Amino acid sequence: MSTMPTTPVSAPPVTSDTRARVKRIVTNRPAIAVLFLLLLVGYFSLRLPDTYLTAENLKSVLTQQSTLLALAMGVTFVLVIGEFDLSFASTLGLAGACSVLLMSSDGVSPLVAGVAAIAVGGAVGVVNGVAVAWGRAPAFIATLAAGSAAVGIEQLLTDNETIADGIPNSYLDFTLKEYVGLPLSTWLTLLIVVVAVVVMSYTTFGRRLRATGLNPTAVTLAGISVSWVRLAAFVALGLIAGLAGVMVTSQGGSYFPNSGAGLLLPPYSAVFLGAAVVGRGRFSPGATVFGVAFIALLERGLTMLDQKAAVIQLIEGVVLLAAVVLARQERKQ
Amino acid sequence: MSAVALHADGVVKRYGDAVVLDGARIDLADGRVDGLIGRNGAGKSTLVNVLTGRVAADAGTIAVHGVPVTLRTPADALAARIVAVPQELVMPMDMTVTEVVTFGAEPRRAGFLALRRADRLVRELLASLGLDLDVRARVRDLPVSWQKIVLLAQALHRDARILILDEPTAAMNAEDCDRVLAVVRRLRERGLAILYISHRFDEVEAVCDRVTAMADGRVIDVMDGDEVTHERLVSSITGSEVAPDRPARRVRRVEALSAGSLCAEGLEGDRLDRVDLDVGRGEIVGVAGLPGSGVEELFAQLSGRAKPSAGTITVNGEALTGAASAKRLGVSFLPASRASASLPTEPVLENLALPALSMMGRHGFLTAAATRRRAADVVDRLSLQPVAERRMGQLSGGNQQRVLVGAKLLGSPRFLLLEDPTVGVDVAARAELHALLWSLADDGFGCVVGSSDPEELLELCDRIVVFRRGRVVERWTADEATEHALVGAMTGSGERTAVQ
Repeated sequence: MSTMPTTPVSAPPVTSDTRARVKRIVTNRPAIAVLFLLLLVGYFSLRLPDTYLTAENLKSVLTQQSTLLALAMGVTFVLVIGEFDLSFASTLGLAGACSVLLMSSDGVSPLVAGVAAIAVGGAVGVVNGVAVAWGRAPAFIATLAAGSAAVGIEQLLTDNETIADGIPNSYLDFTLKEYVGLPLSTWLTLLIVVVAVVVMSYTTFGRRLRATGLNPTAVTLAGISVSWVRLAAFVALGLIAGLAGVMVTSQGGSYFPNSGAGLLLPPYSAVFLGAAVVGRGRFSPGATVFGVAFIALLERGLTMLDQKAAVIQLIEGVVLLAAVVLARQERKQ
Repeated sequence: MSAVALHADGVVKRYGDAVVLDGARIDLADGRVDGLIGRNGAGKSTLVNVLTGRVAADAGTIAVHGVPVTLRTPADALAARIVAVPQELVMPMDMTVTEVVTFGAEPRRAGFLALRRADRLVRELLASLGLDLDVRARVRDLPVSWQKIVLLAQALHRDARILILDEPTAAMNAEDCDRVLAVVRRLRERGLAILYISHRFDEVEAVCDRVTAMADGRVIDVMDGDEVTHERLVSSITGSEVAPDRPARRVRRVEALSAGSLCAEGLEGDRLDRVDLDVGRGEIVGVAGLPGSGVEELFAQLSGRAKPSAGTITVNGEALTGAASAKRLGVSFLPASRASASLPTEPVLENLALPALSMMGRHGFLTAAATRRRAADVVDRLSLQPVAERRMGQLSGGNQQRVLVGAKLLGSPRFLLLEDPTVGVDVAARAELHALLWSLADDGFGCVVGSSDPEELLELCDRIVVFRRGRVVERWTADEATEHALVGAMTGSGERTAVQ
């Protein structure tokens, strides 16, 4: 073999032509995702011909599930870097408490209260990020601990009591009053989605996030600090959790204890479902959008068919488990 | 003469009392490939780590193109345009060729990634190296030599002037090697200063213009141009060694090869090419080979953990088809990494019992007393009484290895497969372990010892087979083999023409 080839050396093709074509169809994940959604919506439209597929119903799904969508985006960032966060639901509760307390006890304006709540969320993110990136703590347990501490602070602040007085109406408007068809909170959530997609696919920061999850050593060798990348991901989720705290308290018109309790697992379900179906096991904002849409539309359909909450929970669990296992099998091949 | 690209002198690095680099010196020049050779532990890796800012030196000066530099972080080294391509394929495998090549220095437009421009840039970069590669392919799907080439392209994209290649062809077959070497030559034509670290002397001869040999953290030889011959390479790293104190060879028992041997015929696999091997009871057979030569795969197949794509393995005529039948036929495997085979926080006794748990328990229940009783023989035999109650992790490497051998003995094997049994073990412990293996062989155990350490193999084994690139290239009895010939056969310096 000559060591100085005059014509370019080509890499051998990885698969044969026909196999490649089949593979391309199977791997066209956006198409498959749309197909899944169409089947789901189609089924419920047949069962509920007059009520399911209406603009009003879809809009109500979108506004009600904004919190889930926003949180799932934040969770995606942390999962992309190969870490985990169990604190964000508690962060959400603490941020909501701070926001409401500032307004009802200190008479702060809703805007300032909301921004403060988001900052509180960011602060918890900093704690998580520093513990994991520089403290080398396992994310699972570090974020569990930070979440527990956040709940402690929340209970100290609120004495574990519902607060409904002294909340200005304009605070409720955040999730109620519509501008161009949707409430501000929903527009903000959609903005987060767009920013997440752009950041992940079209910025160097997004690429650093992905590479950190795939091979941190390669990132270090490129002269980039993995610790700062990790911190950034945790802070992003913290900020979003803070915003979600504002959204939940605004929606409810009050603060009530333990408001974040039910919000920990659904975002993970959505992100993992999306990754399994769209991303072949890889996390991405686009995949997460699918996961959230699928779960939200499924839940709404089952609710409208008068299924018990328990049945809905069971079906969601089975769907997620099946998706994750199938994705795993596919990656093994 | 070309310009001096990098000059490092008097580099010292200590870890505690151990001096890993003791005044090392290296010179690199533009458009020249410098080889760096030496045994494991000679200090090559540490020197590379110092030059790439991953380890801070305790003393010494480094100048790049005549300008003194301080290298404290990988970013410092990158700024000095020193780029290292590590031996392992350190890259995000799920990313595309473009993404990997441009990582850390992505083309941007107004703050956003310029994706199409990046693709074009990488395509041009590869074309300039005489390569045509689908830049959107995921690196995971590429053959290993192309993955390495992607990393070379990455180094170029990072604007490397000084390129450090650590074992770039480890674990590659001849064809893949040629492909990588061709790219290395092109990089030299471009005027890069290249430091080429390799155990494979055939490649060093083929591609290096100048070679530095290291031992014990010092430079012991520098060969220039025509002086780079396989003779000189081999003697430069064997010559530094003091002749080992060889104990009197154990007396080979005549009936050793008679019955019940472990036989492999025509084994093939990812890196094995029609390999035959047989090991009699009472015999110690050494399998010599550099990492990636196929020795690892041979051990995986012999121990039933990997299936040969062709060929058969039999013990006393019975076929060995998998891990379960290996166990039934009494073939026991000790991996090179002791950590993966032991529970460091548990007492020695627990570790002894681990592989033979099914024989230890009584109706599924384990008691400390029963374990001790069952292990007593082995503890006696290996003189482990003094350490029997200590935690595995507190033991020295040599003692850990003895415990692991003991654990295997509890399973009553007939054949022991040992991979690098004395890595990280001090001289005295090594001698003890060798004595243990000799006495086991005298009792009728057959042993297969895989190693890349010629000294160890010559001292320990009755016979030695040498692997290179998946083939058995030499078969010697202990008396026929010499260190010089063994190193030559493993590194392939006898086949200079193969890669030229």
